[in-house]
Amino acid sequence: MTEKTIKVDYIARVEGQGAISIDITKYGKVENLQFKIFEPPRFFESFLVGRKYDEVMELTSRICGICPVAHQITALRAVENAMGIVISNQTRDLRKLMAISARIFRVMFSACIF
Amino acid sequence: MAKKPKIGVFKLTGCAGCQMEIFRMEDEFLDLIKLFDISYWKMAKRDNDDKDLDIALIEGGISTPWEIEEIKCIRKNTKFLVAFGDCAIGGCIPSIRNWIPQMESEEIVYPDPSKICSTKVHGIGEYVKVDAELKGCPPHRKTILELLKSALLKIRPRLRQHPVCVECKFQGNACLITSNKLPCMGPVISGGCGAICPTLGRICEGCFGPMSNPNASALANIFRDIGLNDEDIKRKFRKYSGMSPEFRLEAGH
Repeated sequence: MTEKTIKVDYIARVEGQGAISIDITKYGKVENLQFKIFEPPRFFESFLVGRKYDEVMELTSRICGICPVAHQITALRAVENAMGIVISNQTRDLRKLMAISARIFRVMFSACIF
Repeated sequence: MAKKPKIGVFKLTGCAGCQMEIFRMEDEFLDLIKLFDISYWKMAKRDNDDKDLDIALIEGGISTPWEIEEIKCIRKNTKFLVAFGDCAIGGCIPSIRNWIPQMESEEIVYPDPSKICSTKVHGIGEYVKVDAELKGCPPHRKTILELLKSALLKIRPRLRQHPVCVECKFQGNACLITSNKLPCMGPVISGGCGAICPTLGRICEGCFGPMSNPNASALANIFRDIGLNDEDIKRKFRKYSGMSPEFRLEAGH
């Protein structure tokens, strides 16, 4: 028997475009969990086909306005893997710094607003 | 004291980067909360009310049937509707796929596209009357502040109409097109960013959309002289504002 239902109609952390519903029994067991994402698709995978390699990191950074750096660095690595480019230690460290600072910003932002 | 203006922030097909830009107005953000009654903003608060809004900032374009319903409903409940960012103005980057058949796009991304209910991306101006446009991907925080300040004073906001070149000259940069022969989009793109990219030696990619009355065909000819082929030029104009009437010829409509 469901004892408690936790329902969040929109999750702010995913820009309000997701919902979660959890049914919990008397004994604390999760009976039913539904996670819905109703963000409209934007088909990045399809429109990136035919674009130039140096545009990819610029376009993919627009996947998410909260964590653009993660997508940017991932895209750079994908292009480098495809082309067999080995980056210098300095570049890798700089990217790491950028990724960490982006994470600090994101966590601070979440802590302050939500 | 007069009643605080009610403001709503909505997200359609976009990345939330424009909403983040409001949060990034760190110095002014606390003043804004005092001066405005934020009655709808899903990303920032729990209890939201979208009735009788004075200002609505709409982020994102329209790409599903229920978004058309939503934007018409918002328009009905709002006095001053703002297209907030390039996506709301003309679809921005997601609009690149408007040149690919919808079925093809869906099949690349989803193993079973039968559940997907998506259309071509358009700006909100395609469906409802828009009172102001904030250009940019994302718009600069100073522009957002200018719009909100003008709303409080009940005056027309002074939104920039000049190209990136004006701001590039203020920064004292050498022209990337004439001196380095690089295909910079600056001459046709709206200013407002402070020419960040050209100042760092990177060409303008055009994220602020077309300026007022640009001469896009002349720039396309310059690109051809530099050595770009027709496909390159099409790709450049199709990136952030391919759907705009100003760039329609160069984007290959």
